[in-house]
Amino acid sequence: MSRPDDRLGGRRAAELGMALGAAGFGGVVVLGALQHDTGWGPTGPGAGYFPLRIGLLLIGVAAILALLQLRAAAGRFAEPGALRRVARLLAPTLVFGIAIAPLGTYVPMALFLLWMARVEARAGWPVALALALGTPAAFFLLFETWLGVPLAKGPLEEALGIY
Amino acid sequence: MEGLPALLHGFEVALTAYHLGLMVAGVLIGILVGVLPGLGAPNGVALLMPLTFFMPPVSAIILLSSMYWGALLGGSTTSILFNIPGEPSSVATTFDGHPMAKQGRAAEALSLAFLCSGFGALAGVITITIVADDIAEFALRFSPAEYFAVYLLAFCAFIGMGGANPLKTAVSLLVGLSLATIGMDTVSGEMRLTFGQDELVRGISFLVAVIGLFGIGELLATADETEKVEGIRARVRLAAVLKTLVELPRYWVALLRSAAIGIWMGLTPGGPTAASFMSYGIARRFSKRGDNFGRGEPEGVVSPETSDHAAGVSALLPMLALGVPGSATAAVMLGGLMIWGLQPGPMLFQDRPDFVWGLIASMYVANLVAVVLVLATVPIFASVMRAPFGLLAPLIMAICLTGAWMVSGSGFDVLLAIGFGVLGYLMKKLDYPIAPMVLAMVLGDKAEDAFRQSMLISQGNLTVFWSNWLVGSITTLALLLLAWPVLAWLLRGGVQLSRRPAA
Amino acid sequence: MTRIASPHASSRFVPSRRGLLLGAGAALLARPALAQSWQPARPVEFIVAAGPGGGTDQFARIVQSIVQKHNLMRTPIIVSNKGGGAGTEAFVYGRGAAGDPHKVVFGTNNVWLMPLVTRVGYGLADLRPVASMAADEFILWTYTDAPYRTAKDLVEAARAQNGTFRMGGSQARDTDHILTKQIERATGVTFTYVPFRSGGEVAIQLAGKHVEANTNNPAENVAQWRAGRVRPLCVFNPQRLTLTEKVHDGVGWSDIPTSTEAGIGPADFRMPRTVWLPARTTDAQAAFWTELLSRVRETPEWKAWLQAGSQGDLWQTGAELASFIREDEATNRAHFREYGWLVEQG
Repeated sequence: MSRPDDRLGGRRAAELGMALGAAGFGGVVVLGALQHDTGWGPTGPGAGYFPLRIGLLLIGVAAILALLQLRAAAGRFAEPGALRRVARLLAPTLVFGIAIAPLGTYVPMALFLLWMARVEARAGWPVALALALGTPAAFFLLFETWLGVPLAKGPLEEALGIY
Repeated sequence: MEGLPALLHGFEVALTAYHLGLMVAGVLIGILVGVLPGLGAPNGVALLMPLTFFMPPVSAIILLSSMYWGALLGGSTTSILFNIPGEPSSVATTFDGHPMAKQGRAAEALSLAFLCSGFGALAGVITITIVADDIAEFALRFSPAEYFAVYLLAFCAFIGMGGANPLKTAVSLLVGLSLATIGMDTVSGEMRLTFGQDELVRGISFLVAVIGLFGIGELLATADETEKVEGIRARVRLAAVLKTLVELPRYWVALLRSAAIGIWMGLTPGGPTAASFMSYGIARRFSKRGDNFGRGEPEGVVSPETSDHAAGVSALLPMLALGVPGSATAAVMLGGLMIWGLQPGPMLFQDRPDFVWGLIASMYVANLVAVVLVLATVPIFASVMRAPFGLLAPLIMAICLTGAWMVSGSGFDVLLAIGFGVLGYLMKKLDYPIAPMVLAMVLGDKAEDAFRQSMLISQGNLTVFWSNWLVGSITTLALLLLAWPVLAWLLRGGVQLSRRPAA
Repeated sequence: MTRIASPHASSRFVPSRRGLLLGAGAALLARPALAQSWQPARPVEFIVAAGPGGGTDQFARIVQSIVQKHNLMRTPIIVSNKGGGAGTEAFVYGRGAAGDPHKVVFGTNNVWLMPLVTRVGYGLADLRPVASMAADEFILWTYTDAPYRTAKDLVEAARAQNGTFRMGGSQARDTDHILTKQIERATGVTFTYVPFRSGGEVAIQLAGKHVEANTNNPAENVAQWRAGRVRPLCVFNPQRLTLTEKVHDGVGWSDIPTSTEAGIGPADFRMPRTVWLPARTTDAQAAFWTELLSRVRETPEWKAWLQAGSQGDLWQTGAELASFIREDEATNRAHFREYGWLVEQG
């Protein structure tokens, strides 16, 4: 607990956080279950019967895990710089994911791939453009025309009349 | 055996040029569908379904089942090369298949996986041939209590024999069971744990969870470890295949045990996913090389692959004979059967012998075709790995997010998959096993339904789970497996368990 | 495979786009199949309020295959299953597509019954009824060597068992459960209703004698009947079924007594199969679909499908259908209030 690295990326803190998170989720499940019949209803065990017991069990097991952590050895959760690399992949992905519903699959995908190839992988323009334009095109041919599965469409597709 | 003349007649049906062509087409589409994460065998079968409406039913089922075998093999390919299971049932193959590939033994891992799949499929289809006439009677004995006991057995086997910290396994399992309760409750018709959100009404799809936990989570974990991934080159040469084939008999114990587990789980409604995990867990526990599991042990590929395929094949039998599908894919095919105007049920074997035995004969042939084709096409898929991770990661990420969208065309699912990705990353870093959570999501609501139906039928009496030898022995076995960590701890003087959490 | 797909891509999508850009007129006049004031301009999505495989899924897919086979419409049809929340997922999706005539929802009477019993994200006003195309029959079944010969025997046995008689059905507060409740109302007995996931599961459970009776549709139980594991006791229809085919042991569909003949109630219980458009679509758009479906109804494939599942023909559209839905909703609301099922009752 003394090294700064341990506080930020400490294994013990992460384990504790995960266990407490699980217990918290168990609490949400219990709250949700309590809105229903948790005992014996007109069609047997009520809708809340199973979730209530699952939630309580989860809280119990997670609490034991958290207690065990208190006497576990300290260690590193991640190497220095690792979390930064994860964030640099995760953040653009999240933006891409949020954009799919309003803007469709294709435009955000092209921009995401272009960003990742140019800025993160430092690829040259030809490679980056081939990836960013070729992938959505291949997806369109594969899914929309060949397999008949519609992907998300946005304003651009609407304007082009592709539906 | 009265099945033999019928089987020979089936071969006459299956071995036409048209049907062989359908098998090749089906297997190739299946491999593609199995390789693409998020577009698994159930979706693939559903997508091809409209094409089959104007075919004779036996041609349609040959096309769809061939696609299923291809998808099972395609799923194993990505498990080994990319550590991304294309199918939930090939998750267990990643545990040792990917480490083997990392050690430069990709060709060995792949040929082992494919040959064992072939063996499992063969064992499954031989079983179908033999027991087809009697299975209907046996499966009718399954009341909700028996179903619940089987699910309980699958859950307890994880905690007791999964190999990970039992407490963490339990957390993973319980979170999965909780997620499974979201949405409409079959028994009461009430909406549970949706907290008024429309997006949660249809529940959380395990496909979305699988895409997030395995696909996105694995990408994040790889980004964490290093910026470069060792380029896993896989060119499967005939010599490597033959060498593996020669070495295969060495694993005869694992092969036979895994085939038996797979067949049992396919005939009962456990399905291929549960079968492959159970087989891996049991192999890890009982193998002489058990300590090597997870570090590239060939037996860790042999066991889940054999079971996976044996279960996938035998799952078609209860679907045909009872209309109870043994796997998700079988469930979609069941729908097809009814669209083609067939009534699945015990009488199908008498009414439409050309259909049933044509399918069974095609399973012998199509699985052979599938193994040959997948061995031949693997270099195409493997060549992708030579690209730098910085370019490959966003590409796979784009496939994952698109796959999440396709599950039900919802932007919420995409965000959910990313959320599961972060969770999967954390679970990997902290040694929480992910597989139990997925299994619990798939079987959770079925287990709950079966429990409540049992309670309704017995008027709340728990002894229903010991009311006859069948359900009683399954339930007892499940509880013994659950108690296994404690029993082992007592037997070894309490040393082992207290050390485990630190591992 | 992308190379194979690309010619299809251009041939399938460009014409519809050009048709849109040039103005619909010329392109539409060229279409022989249906001369209507409105035509779909884009691929149409059939939304199935059930998972793959069940009766509702078959319903949508048979309509799709007939439209394509007889070339009744030029634009392609995509069928998607949205079976979450007992089908409410599809109706919520239909609500989100308000004003879009390219989304067609396939359901049953669950469209107006689900909002009564559970909190859902849509109201009946969010969907526009187009047609009711078929009615699925309900039959009371028991296992073959059960001691009851008639429906009356079964009801009396249930009365003697005082509430522990096990009736299987698919889903809670859905059609099977509603019918069970109506039998209870009419006869004054109480059953233990055990809900399963699908009619197929209930059929197996009855064949395995784990429940004592079920109220499955003909298609769900026919295979077990043919195998001699279950037998029908009565059909909940004022008339006997017309199909004369003998199924097992010299007994066929037309030999099943009606519930009135058998001396139990209700006299009439059937499940309509319905087609809907999103709200805020125009009359012309609804008329296009009504006309298309009426053509589907005349094809031999449709008739064969009805007969294969022993389903009745029930063709209702427009005001007639709307008033049927209103009445049925009011009746069921009153019944549900009695059972304490209404969502506002908690």
